[in-house]
Amino acid sequence: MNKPSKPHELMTFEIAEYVFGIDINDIQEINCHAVLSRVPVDYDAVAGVINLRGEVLTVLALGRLLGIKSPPTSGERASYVVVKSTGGRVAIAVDKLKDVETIPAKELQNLPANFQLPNQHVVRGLVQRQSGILLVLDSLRTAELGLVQAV
Amino acid sequence: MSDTPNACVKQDEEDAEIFAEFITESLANLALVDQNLLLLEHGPNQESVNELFRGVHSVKGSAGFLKMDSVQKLAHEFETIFDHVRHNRIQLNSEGIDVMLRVNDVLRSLLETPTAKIDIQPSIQELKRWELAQSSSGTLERSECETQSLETDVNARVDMIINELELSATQSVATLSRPHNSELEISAAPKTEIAGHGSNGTPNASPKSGNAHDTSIRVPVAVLEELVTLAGELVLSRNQLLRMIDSAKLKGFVGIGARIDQVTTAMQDSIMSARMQQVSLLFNRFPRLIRDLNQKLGKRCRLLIEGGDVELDKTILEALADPLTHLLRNSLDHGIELPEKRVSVGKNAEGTLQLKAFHEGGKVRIIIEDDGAGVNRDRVLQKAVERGLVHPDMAPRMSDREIVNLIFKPGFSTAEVVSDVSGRGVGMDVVRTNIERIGGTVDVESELGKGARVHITLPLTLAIIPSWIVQQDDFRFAIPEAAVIEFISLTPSDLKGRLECVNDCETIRWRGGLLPLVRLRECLPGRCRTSSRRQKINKVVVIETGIFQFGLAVEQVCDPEHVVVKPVGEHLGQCGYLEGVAVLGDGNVAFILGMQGVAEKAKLGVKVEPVPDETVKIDVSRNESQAAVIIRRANGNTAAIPRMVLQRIERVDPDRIQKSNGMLIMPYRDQQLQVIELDSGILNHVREQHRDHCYVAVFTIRETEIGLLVSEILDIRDISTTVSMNETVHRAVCGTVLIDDVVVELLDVYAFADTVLNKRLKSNQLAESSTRVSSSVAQPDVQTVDLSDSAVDWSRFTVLLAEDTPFFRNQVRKFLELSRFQVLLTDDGGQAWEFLSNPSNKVDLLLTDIEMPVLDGFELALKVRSTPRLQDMPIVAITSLHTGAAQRRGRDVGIDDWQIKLDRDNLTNSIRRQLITGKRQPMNYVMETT
Repeated sequence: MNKPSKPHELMTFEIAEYVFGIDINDIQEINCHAVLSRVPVDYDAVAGVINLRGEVLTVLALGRLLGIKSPPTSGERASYVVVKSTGGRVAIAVDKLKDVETIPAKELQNLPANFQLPNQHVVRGLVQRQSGILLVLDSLRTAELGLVQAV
Repeated sequence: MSDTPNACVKQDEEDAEIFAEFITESLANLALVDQNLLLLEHGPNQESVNELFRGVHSVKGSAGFLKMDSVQKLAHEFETIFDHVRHNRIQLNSEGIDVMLRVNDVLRSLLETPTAKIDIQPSIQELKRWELAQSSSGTLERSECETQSLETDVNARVDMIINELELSATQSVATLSRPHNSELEISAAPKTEIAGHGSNGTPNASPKSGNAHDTSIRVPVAVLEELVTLAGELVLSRNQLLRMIDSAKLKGFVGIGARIDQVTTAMQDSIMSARMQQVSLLFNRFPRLIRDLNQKLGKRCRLLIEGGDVELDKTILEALADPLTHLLRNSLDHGIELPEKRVSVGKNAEGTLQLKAFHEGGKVRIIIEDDGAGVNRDRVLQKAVERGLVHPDMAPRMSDREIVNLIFKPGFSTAEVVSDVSGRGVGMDVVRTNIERIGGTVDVESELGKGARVHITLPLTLAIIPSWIVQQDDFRFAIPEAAVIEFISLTPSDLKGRLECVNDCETIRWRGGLLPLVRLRECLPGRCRTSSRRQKINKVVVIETGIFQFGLAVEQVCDPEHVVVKPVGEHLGQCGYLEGVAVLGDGNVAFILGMQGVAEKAKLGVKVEPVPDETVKIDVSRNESQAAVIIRRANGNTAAIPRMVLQRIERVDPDRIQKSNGMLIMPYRDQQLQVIELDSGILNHVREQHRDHCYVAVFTIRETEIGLLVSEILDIRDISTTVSMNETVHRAVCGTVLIDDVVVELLDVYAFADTVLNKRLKSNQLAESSTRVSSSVAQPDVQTVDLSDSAVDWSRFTVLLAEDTPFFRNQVRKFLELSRFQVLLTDDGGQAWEFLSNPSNKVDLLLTDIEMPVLDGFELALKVRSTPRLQDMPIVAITSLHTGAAQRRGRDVGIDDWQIKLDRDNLTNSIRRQLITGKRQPMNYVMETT
C-alpha cells in the first residue's frame, strides 16, 4: 500500500499473546520501574497513573481497550511505553518489552477484512514475520483512545 | 522615610538588583533581534519584524527608566526604522540588515559595559543614511534597479553572514562561562552580592572577577532542571530499594534505607523550592517605575502592592516581567488622568494603581487596577476600525467586553502622540503574547470614568498551592485551602441532632442554617470504592466556591501540605472533578478535587446560601454547639475553654516564659505578655518533666492581652452550649458540660483573670469601685463621666440583648446583671425586633450581636432607626467582627458604639456611657462634666 520509502523502525512489545510495534520516533521513553497508582475514575481506557520524575502520566490500558486482556492483576509487573500525544504525553501499559525491529516499508500490509478487534482503528497494519504477526500501532490514535471526541 | 540612611542603602541595593536584571533581559532581547534579522535575510516575514520591533521596544523602555540615555536614544532610532519596516514603508534589504546588525552590536556593547564611553552618533547616522537612501528614491523603482546589483552581491554577502554566524557561535560559547540571561541565582544571603554591586557605585552585570561571591553562586537554570529530573529518578530508585529491603527482610539495610529515604525527600524538597521565587522580586521594581513615570508624565499616582509573598515558578515569574511592566505603564499613561483633570471630575488628585497577586481556585491571579479614566469604548472601536482590525460591519455587533479587549490586538494604540513611554501600539500585544505563551490568560474590564482592571490568570502548572490532604477509600485528595471554610468533627451522637433530609438532599446544621452534605464516596465510581457500604460521617470539610457552599464528608483529614500542582491528563480531566494531580512529599499521588465538579457529581442544585429554615432554627439554637479547646488540668480534670474568647493558642518552649516580680512574662510579638497559671506550679511541673513545649492561650481583658498557661491540649472540638451553672465551684469554672458522657469544667477565663489581676490591682491601691473612665472611645475630647456604680442607679435602665449564641448570651447577661442593669434576652434580631416594635415595651438600650440568623445586627439597627419612636435609642454592637468595613457599615446604619467580644469592662463602660451621654436621656441622671 505504501510507496517505497524509508523502512519503519518499530519498538515492539507484547500484550497477552499479541505483538505490537510503535514507530520509535513517536516514543518518548520506555520505563520498567514506575509504580502504577490507581485513579478515582472509572474509565476502561485508563489503568491508572504513574509518577515519572515528578510528571504524572495517564496510563492507558491498551490490552483492555483492544479486548485482548483483562486488566492487569495485582503483582503483575507491567512496563510502560511513553508516547507523545496532542494533549501531552501518555503511557501505554504493556506486558513485555521486546526489541527494535526494522521493517521495510513495503512489508506493512492492510489488516485482513476478517480481522476483528475492538478499537482496531488504532492499528495501522500488520507485518508478517517468521516469528509471527506484528501489529503496527498508530501512536496518535492510540493516545486518543478513551477520549470523548470533541464535536 | 527615605531620609534614613538605611532606606537609602536598601534603595541602592534594590536598584543594583533591578539593573542587573535589566541587563540580562535586554541582552536576551538583543540576541533575539540578531536571530530575527538573520531570518529576514531569507525573505520577508511579518512575525520576525514584529519580534524585532518588540525586542528593541522593550530595551528602549527599560533603558529609559534606568536613565541609560545613550541606549535609549539608539534604541529609539533603531525602533523607528523597524516601525517603518513593519508598516511596509521601507523594505529591509540585506544592506539594511548589515546596518542593523552593526547597530545591534553597538547596543550590546553599551549594555555589556555600561561604564564605557561609546559614541553612538556614528551608528545613528548610519541608520539615518540608510533610511534616507531607502525612502528618497521611490522604494519600488529602487528595489527594481537594485535587484541586479543585489544578485551579484548576494554570494559575497552570504559568505560574510556565514562568517559572522561562526563568529557569534564561538562568542556565545564563550559567554556561557559568563553570567547570562537564563540563570537563576541561588543564594543563602542574596543581599551580599547585590550589596557588592551597590557599593561599587557602578553595577556591572558581567563581573570579570568571580571571587567576590562567598555565599551565593549563579547556577544556570538548565542545571537546576537537570537536578529536578535526577531527583525524580532518585526517588524512583529509592522506592525500589526500600521495597527490596522490605521484601528480602534485609535487617542490616533497614537503617541505611531509611536514611536514603530521608535524604532523598529532603533533597527533592530543596531542589523544588530553589525554583520558586516570590513575586515581590518582580513587584519590587515597580515603585521605581511608577515614580519615574510620574515625573516624566507629570502625573500623580501611587502604587499599592499586595500579595508579594505569593510564590511562582521562576520561569513564569520571568515571563511576567515584560507584560506587567507594559500594563503598569499603560495604566499610568492612558488610564490615570493628569492631577488637574482628576480634581475637575471630583477625584482625588492622586491616582491609585493597585497590583495584587493571590491564589484562586488553584491558579495564581494578578490584578492591576487603576482608578483612572477607564477605556473609552467608542474611541477603541473607532481606532480598531480605522486600523483595519475590525470590519466596519462587525462593529455594531460587538459586546462591550469584546471591544475593550480589542486593545490586545497587534498594532492597536489610541494614544494621540507617540511618546517614549508607550503609544506605538506594541505594549498590549506583547502582553497578551507573553502571557499566553506561559499558558495564562489576560482580560480587561473597564468602566468609563471609573478606571480599568486587568486580570491575569496564570496556569495551575508549576504553581504551588497550600492544600489539605484528605483520604477517602484509599485515595488521597488535595483540597485547595482557599476553598475550605472549616472542618467539623462529628461523633455519631452529634449527628443525631444535626443531620437532616430536605427534598432528598442530605443536609447538616451549620451556623444556624442547613448546609448540603456530600459524601465523597458517593462521588467516586463504584469500582473505586473500598466498601459498598454507605460512608459514615465523621469529618466534614465545609467548602465554599464561587457558587456552592457545602459540607464534604471525608474519611480522614491528613496534613496540610503545599503541593506542586501538575496538570491532569486529558483522559482523567474528562471526569470533571479532578482539577490536577500533585506528587506528595512521600512520592504518592494526590488528586486535586475541583469543587465545582464534585458539586455537579453530587447533583447539588445551585444553592447560594445554606437555607435558613424557620422550623429548624428553633431546634438549632437549642442544640447549638460552640467550638472549645479541651485541656487537661493539673489535677487531672478535663476542662474546656470556649474557642471564641481566645485570640490564639501559641505553642511555646517553657524556657521562654520567665519569672519576674512575681509574674510570669513571655516575649510575644515583640511585646511582653503576662502569663497566668490556672493551677499554680504548672510551669515548674512542665519544666520538671523536661517537656519541650507547652501552650499559651492568649485572650484580651481590658484591652490587655493575657496568656493562660496550659500544659496539655487534648482536642479542639464542638461542645454543647447546655451548661449546668454551678456557682460554688472554683473561681475559674463557670459550669460544667457533658462531652461524650464525661463531665468537663467550662472555664471562665475572664473571671479567673480578674481575680488574679485584681490581687495586683489592690496592691497598687486601685480600688475598682472608684475607677474613673474617660469617655475617650466615643468622644475623645471633652468630657469625663462618672460611671462608677455609686453615681447612678443603673437598675432603672433596661437593656435588650439580641444574641444567638447561648454561651455569649449567658456571659453577657451575667456581666450586665453584675452591673445591675435590667436585662431582656432575645435569641436573634427577629425576636428582638418583635419585642421592640411593640410600643408598650420599654427599652433603654439595644445591645446586639451582628451575625445572627433571621435578622442580623445591621438589619435590626436599620429597622430600629427607621422607626421614629426608637430613633434616639442607643445601639451598641457586641461582636467578634472587627474589620473597619463592618464598623463603618455599623456607623452607617446607626450603631452608636462597637464592642469586640468579649471585654467585660469595656462593654459595661460603653453601655453606661451611651445611657448617660447618648441621644436618649432619661429624666433623672447624674452627670459630672469636668
